[in-house]
Amino acid sequence: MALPLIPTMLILGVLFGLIGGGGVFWMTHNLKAVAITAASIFSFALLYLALLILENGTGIR
Amino acid sequence: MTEAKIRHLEMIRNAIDGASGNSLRIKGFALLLLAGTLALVLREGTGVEVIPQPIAIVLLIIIAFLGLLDFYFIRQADLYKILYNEVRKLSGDEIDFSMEADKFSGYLNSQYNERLPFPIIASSVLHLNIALILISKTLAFI
Repeated sequence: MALPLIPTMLILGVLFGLIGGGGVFWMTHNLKAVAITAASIFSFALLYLALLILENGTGIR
Repeated sequence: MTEAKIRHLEMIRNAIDGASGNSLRIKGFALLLLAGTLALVLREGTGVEVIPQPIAIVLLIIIAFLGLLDFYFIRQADLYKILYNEVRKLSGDEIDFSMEADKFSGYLNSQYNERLPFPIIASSVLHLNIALILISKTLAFI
């Protein structure tokens, strides 16, 4: 299954941000903590996307 | 401060140390699983460039359980910290060596609501990022 790199990683980042934010909200009911969690996970996804692009290229010709 | 009170506080401190040590060990184990999988599956020269899906699914389930266990231990450590603070205020003859920390559960929730629970944020970010790396190494990109 070949997937386009950039959209897939962005969607994964948003999805995991939502999962993490949901989990933290369930445990703490602290909206600031939810925002920090979601933002950290999404920015990590962006960082990892940059690493993958450095490794494989964008796949866009 | 009486001898009994000091002993009780030491007991609670041991429980705190145990819970936070377990939380750290779980984080280390999750990272070890990720590093080991990447190193063993994606070896140089074998031609394998993605992690096979069954391996990834099993690992994701394990990581999810490790994440939940990590939250549980962080929460236990925080509960025992509240118990420590309560015992600290007791007078010498009120010491009953109780280790019932679960009764502070509601108070701990209100504490989490008021100030930022950094250990929970960090643990959640760590485990989800391990899962993210595993998934992105499983999907074959163009």
